Amino acid sequence: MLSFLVRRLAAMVLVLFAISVLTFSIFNVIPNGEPENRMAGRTQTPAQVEAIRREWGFDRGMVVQYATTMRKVFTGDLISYYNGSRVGEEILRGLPRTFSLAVGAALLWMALAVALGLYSAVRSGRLSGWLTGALAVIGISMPVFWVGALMNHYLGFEAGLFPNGGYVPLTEDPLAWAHHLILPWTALSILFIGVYSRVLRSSVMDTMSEDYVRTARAKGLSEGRVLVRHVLRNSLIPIVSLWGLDFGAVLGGGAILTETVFDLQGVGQYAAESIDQLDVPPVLAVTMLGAFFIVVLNTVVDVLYAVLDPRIRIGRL
Amino acid sequence: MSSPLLRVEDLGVSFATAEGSVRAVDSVSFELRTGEVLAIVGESGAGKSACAMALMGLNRSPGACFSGAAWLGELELLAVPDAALRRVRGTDMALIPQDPLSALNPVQRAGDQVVEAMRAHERVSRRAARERARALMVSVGLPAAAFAAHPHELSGGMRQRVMIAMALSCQPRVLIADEPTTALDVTIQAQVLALLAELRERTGAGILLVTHDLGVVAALADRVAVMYAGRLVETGTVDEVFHDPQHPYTWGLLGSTPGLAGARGERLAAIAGAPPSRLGPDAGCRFRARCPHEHAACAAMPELAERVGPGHADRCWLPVDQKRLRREHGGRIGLEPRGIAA
Amino acid sequence: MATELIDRAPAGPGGLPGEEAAGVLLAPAAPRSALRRLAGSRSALGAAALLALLVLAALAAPLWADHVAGTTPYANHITDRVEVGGKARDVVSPDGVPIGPTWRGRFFLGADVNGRDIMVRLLYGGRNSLMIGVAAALLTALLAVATALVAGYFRGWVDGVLARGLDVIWAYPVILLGVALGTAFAVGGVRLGPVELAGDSKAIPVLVIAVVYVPYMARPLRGTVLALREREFVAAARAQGAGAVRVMWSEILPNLLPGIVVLLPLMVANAILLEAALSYLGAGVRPPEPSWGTMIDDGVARIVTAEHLAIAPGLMLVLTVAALNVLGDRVRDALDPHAGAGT
Repeated sequence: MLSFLVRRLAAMVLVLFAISVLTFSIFNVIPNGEPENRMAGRTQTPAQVEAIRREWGFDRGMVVQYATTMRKVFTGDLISYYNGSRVGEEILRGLPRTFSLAVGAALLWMALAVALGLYSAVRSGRLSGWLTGALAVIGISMPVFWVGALMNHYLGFEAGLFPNGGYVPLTEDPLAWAHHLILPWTALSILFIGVYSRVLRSSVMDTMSEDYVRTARAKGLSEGRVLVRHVLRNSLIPIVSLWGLDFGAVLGGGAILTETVFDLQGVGQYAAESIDQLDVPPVLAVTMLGAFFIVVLNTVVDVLYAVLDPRIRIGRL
Repeated sequence: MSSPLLRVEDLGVSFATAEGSVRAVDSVSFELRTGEVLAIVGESGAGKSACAMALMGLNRSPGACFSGAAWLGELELLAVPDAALRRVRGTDMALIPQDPLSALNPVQRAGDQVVEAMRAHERVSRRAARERARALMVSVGLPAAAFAAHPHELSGGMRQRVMIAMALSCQPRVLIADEPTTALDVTIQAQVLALLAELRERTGAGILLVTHDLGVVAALADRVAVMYAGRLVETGTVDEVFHDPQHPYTWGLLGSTPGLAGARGERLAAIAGAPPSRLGPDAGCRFRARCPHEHAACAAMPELAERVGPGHADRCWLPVDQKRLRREHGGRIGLEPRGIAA
Repeated sequence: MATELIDRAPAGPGGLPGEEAAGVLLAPAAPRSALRRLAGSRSALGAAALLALLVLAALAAPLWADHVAGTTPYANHITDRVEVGGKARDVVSPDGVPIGPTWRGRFFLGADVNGRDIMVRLLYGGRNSLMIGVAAALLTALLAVATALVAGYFRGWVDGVLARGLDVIWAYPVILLGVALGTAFAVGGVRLGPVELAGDSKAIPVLVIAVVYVPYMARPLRGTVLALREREFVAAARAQGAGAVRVMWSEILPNLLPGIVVLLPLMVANAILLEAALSYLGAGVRPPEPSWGTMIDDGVARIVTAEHLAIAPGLMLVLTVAALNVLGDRVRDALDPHAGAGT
């Protein structure tokens, strides 16, 4: 177990390093003006500009620039090239919003996907099973920003059922928090429900032909218990790994589109807006954060896998 | 004579396929009495498993069609709804499957699977059920540690013992053992057979043994029913069928089994050809295409009738004395040219 | 890595992610019987017919533009008037609200705020979206197959480097990477050896989408190559003195094809979705060039005053992607009859 964690930690450091280099180089192949000028702001003096240039290493090579920037990432001194705001503070402001979106949506999509996938597997070959399968295909075929905008317009603007975007902290007013998040949760979940229910459906159908399911029936268990304890329990294993990875991606700012459509001002939206300004430091920080969550959740998933499926042991991972 | 535990009358099972309806089991009748081991023998695809699964209701599906009747005491198994059948499974009738590895849920502890079988039918506390399951598992020869083990941590023989403990958890009157030793090593096979024999003595359960292995039949069974292409072709006591087999298919089966045929240093014989398709209506005896003794009468399906004596029935047109004669003089099907017959 | 847009959606048979995807297809059904099964599936035929119709419509875009609508996808008609039900109406009202569907030749589906004909733009946009989707998917397949072949065949440190490289791209949130690349290339253009792409070239979204999706296809394929390499026929070919390129090309590649064929429709579907997402975030197709993505972007911004601007391109996109997904499912079922029975 310990060596497993150590190996994972080493892999994570490597991945984070590679991702930071990748991000840094993507933005250095382009002429992005002279960042020191933009960072110094409107009322700049040549001395200020010069100081900034030297502090960030803009007058030196790429390697020094990279090293300086990375040092600032870890000391929390990273500031935006665009408006000089502190990147760490901006991310901390966005994280609760992104977390709220991710946690609620992940619960919603998992619950509904399990229900839908199980139903369409059990009903396979009948009209109702076909319809739920078709529903899932439509779910994976709709762009989230389109669905989100339509929901926002018809349910929020026209019907007045939901507020028009924005975010209220949970600590301030839990009801308003949920009220503001219902549409984003739903919009983000639609795609995942489609994907997961399809994976679960084929997994359930495979499991149902297993001998141990016949054994469960031969024991005289009720059909419900057979489905939940024997079929579903085993079919969930592939879903759980998907779930962990997708949850990690959304936590790390992967829900850019949803956050933008509903103007949640989360980490993902922050990254998207920074890219628009060609503002490297925030993008660098958010992508590293995203990769961090993905790698961490990946590890959690592997551990969870071993718990769910006793045939896999941590030592062998 | 006591009334039978299980009485099967004219059982038929057919499955809808893309090519049409396939009759897997056709007018099969037999009885199973208390403490008796009845073996259903045949090659794979003969319909013996379909027959056993039909009794448990485990092959009920939209495409499956059942006919005839199967009485477990007062209960007609083919007619009862799923919910009622569920109460019978595990309590009155339990299954010992072929491959214990795939028949055990890989993510559940062995003991929990036994406990689950108990608690499905009896109102027992979890703790009491655990104690009982533990005792039961020890009684079938499992080490105490097996209770908390996952199936993949057990050996093949231990897994089959878990399945047996599971089957015994509610003291069933009928055990259906579907090829219980096929997936096991030879040495383990003997142990499991000994365990099944002991259980029969101890619990008085009737065992319906489905197998293709005549060695297993000889070791365990009292009576035997030979099945070919969905129909019974010969039934009788193990003694009768092994020493005075009436149907040419049974001769072939006995001749192709090591240990039984090899007693006199004979060569093992394979039965030439393959079983017929069961899509269309019957055109006479189903074995005739592979039978060296085929003659004109075989164009009609013979009845399963007691031709040699009470309790020993077969489904072959040949007169009894002809059968004995031909069997003695090289009735080794498949090795002889067809011209000898008729 | 997963994002709201696609997650590991170009997953393999049964929608199972990653490594299992292509591996399942090591022993695919014979091509002819697979085709027969495909032709026997009503949903496959329906999806194929719908796709053919969409492609034909996109091809016929100039015909509609010249002969029916009498305009181009770029022409503004802000000050024009159009006759609807005998009454002349502004194409764009003085307070900036564009006309809705007229259901006749001119402005069949209405106009956008610049007074451009939505129907015409939808058809030309379809050309771009479909072309970008197909080109990106093919490029992804090409890159992924090359990577998988080299990594899986040579193994050792070559495989190590390539596999870790794939992991890095994979751990990068898809949209974030796409937007970053798209923005960077759009500002600076791209120079790939002799080929130089201007910032507003439509090849840029193709390149970005293709690169982003490479790991999703290369990872499972690499697993298959590693497995194939151990098979007897590869050993036999090597024993006869076949070189690395020869073995990869004529022994391993043919066995990868079924897996690639299964993944392709799904890749096209996901590429079209990603094009839309990138365009929505301003990092895809550059205006005024139409694509379904840029049109949805326009429409979403003005959804309050003119709903049709968002609905029309969105529906086209959903129809196309759904048809591709259904077709992909059926192709998989046909090639791999053991995978779960389809809807």
